[in-house]
Amino acid sequence: MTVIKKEITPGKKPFKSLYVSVMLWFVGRALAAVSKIDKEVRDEIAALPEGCLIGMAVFPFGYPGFKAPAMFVQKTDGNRFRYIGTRAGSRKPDFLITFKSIEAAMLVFTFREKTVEAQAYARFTADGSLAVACTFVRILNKTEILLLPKIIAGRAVRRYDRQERKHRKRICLYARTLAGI
Amino acid sequence: MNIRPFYSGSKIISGRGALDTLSFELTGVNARKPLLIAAENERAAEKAVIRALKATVTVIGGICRCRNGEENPAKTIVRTFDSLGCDSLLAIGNADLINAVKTARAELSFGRPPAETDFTRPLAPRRAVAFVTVAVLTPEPGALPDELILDSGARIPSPAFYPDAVFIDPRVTGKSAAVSRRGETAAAALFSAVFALSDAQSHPAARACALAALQQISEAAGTRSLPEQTRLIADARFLSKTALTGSRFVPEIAAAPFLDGGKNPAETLKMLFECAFPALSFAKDDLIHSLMNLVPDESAIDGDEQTLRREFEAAVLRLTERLLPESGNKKPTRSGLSEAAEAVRRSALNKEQKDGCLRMLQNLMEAAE
Repeated sequence: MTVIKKEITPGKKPFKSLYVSVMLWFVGRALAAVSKIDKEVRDEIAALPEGCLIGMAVFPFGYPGFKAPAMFVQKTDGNRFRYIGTRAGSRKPDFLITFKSIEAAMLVFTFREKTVEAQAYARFTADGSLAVACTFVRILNKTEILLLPKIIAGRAVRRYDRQERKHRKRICLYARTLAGI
Repeated sequence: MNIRPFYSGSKIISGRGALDTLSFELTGVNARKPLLIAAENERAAEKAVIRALKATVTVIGGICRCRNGEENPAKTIVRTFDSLGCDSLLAIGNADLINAVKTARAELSFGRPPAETDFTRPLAPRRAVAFVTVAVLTPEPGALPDELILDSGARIPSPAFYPDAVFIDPRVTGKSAAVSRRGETAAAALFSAVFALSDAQSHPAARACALAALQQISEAAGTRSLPEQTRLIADARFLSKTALTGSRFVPEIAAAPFLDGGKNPAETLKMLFECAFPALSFAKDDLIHSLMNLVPDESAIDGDEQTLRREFEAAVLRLTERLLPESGNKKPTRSGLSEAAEAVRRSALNKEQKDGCLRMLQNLMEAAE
């Protein structure tokens, strides 16, 4: 028997991590922006508990000494979302989606797989109330429809709902997301 | 790209991309520094495993490469494990290699060789050593993972020999036969149903779903017709998923007062729609994908949204019909259904879900008349 007595520390995936980090940052800010411009989203947020903290992260998020992409948004007054950042601080999120690997996150964030499809294939774990999960997925779908061109959004959401004044909302959404207002 | 975890003694994660979740699953069994044990001629699989651990928390403590027909590999594994301070065993291979790793694990866990241990009595391990395997060939359906074969040829059966997790990824197994989707789905449904039933906090509606799922699986096992078997398994998966999701993740269900043995069908329906529907909407997506995977010829369902929706509604109707006879009423009463419809209107469902519920109730009312 050949024995190799040395530790093998697996390398990193810097480009994939960077891509997913940027996407999560963008989605977080877009969620905050869409809650300001869309009444339907505000109605959905109204059903969430006050101060509800929602996050999306990639494994090994939360392990000391390891950096992993993540984003958190919190419900604030007026039924809106506020983008908190990449860390939730000491507070435990009310609802957290954790992708089991960076590859799983890549499948979703490159729009090769829909959120519900990823859920069916056990690509992520959802920790929290199911009612919050359903609401959050609906808001996420709405945000993706407003953010992305139809051909790409059709791959990201299971059903593409037509939106009123979509282009106007889209311009507003991009401006608010990039400016952070 | 289709991973479908299920349980059969061990947790089995199969499908393309299953290896990507290796570190996540290892962490789940408290394994952060595994000792990698691979067959000498499986370098490609070894590389695939190391590559899959990239950007994760897992560090490989060391590697043991076994040759075919080697004597006493278990002793070398135990020595290396202790000297390198590893906390778990990660085996890549089949048959003899897995047998050697099982022997090593038993020795590490119980402090003495398995031949000197009485596995017929309950045993408390001296230390917990996680054991995960990556299959290089798709295991045969009849393979017994809970058996250890000693050098003398004697076989020791014990659940202590089950690996904590088994990975079957086509990136490693190559062209060997794929795991049957139908079998996988049935196993997953069975596990979810049993889990939901064993949960003390399960709501009666969730339990009823789990029982119905078990009945469907047993019916499927005795059915020869493939399309019928497919339908039964897809239904069972849907029902068990609803039961599991409902029992575990909907606090309203866990907190709801126990219904009086389901004697009041209106109440049962009301609770089902009010509490379990968020779970159903998740299960619906799962059902759709189950159907996609199960139907051998995808063109048979065209992947068409309307067809899938009809399938879903039919499944919900079947579920409702299954729940109602248990209450002693073969048909739901009109007043009961009106009450259920009112409950749906008052509930926090979105417009589309409410419309779906009301349409189904309307169908039930027509059937009742």
